[in-house]
Amino acid sequence: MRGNGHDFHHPGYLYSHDRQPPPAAALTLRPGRPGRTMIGAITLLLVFQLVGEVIARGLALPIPGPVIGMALLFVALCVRGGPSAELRGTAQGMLQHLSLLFIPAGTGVMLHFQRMSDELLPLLVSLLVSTVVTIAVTALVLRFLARRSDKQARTR
Amino acid sequence: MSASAIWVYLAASPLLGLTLTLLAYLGASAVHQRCGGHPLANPVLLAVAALVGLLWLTDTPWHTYFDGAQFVHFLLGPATVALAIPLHAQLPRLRRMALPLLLALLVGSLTAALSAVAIGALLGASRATLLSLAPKSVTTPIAMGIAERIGGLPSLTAVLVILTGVLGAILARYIYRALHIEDDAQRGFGLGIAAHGIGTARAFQESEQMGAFAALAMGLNGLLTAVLLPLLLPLLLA
Repeated sequence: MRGNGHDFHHPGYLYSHDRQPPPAAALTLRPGRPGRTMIGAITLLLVFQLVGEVIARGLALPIPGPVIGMALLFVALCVRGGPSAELRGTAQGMLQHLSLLFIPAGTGVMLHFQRMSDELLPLLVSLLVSTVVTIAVTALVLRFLARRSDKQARTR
Repeated sequence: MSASAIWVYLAASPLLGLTLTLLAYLGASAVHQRCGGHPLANPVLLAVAALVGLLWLTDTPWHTYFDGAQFVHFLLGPATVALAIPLHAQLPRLRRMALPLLLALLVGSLTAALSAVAIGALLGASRATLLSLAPKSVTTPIAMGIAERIGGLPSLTAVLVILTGVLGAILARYIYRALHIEDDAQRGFGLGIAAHGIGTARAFQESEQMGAFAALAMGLNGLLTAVLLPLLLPLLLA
């Protein structure tokens, strides 16, 4: 193909000298600092996850790696005073579509049809009651404590 | 190329599973919007139902699908790390309400895990099911990690977590209406503790503040449950 012996899949194709120069418009897209891009932000998230994973496994902690990564990033943000615009934008984009990320795991229901139909009643009642009670109890406790601390603040 | 040769290619490559996941999500989101964002038209529920139906009809093994979909699944890790950013944005409120939030977190986190295990045990669920049920209110990647750690079935946990999230996202509005809970911080925190990321996604639809507190609750509950459950459960289910 193309008479120069380069296979399209060969990485060398990207650097072949007979390639057409990019159009002028593409040149204006030259990035400033590579770290200050979406790729930089994703790399940062992955690095924190990686460090979290290494700490969790290295110290045999019961906490999953990404959670340690989250805690470390939170501390880093407190020290630095906040995320860069790119990091904030990338995180926002990711969290906006959080629902998407649960879909593959959700389809795992196929693997457990048997067990779930065998134990349908305990599972259904447990999930339903526990979820309702947890929402109610948590919000009520927070309201009770918030009112108390408001009152204290006013009497002071 | 014959149709069966094309199928052989598609079944072996991640392209189909990945594309179907995104299409199912976009379709489910469109339906969700059409229904005026009604909680019953939950996008995760709709997309999973559509995909499972499709795989079942075409007799496709789940692993064939997941080989492609795992690229989406993988992003749960960096997304968990990214939760630090909305969390940090709530820092001033966090400082002001630190004590009430931490106490509500502790009560809510224990209620979520212990009530589920207690009710399941009372109704005769098996040990593996109980252990898979315990982290059901925690966001998927953390819950699967916890299930693995305590001896549950991570993939069953993932399903139970998602069912919990969908239930919480659907029911929260009615619970809060019945209890006259109107403050968005309290509404978001309760939903985030009980229904993790799916509840948080729902909370962001109601208001920015409710979403931020749900995200806060989800992150803190993930941390606390990951520490507490491996210590508590062996004592309870000895």
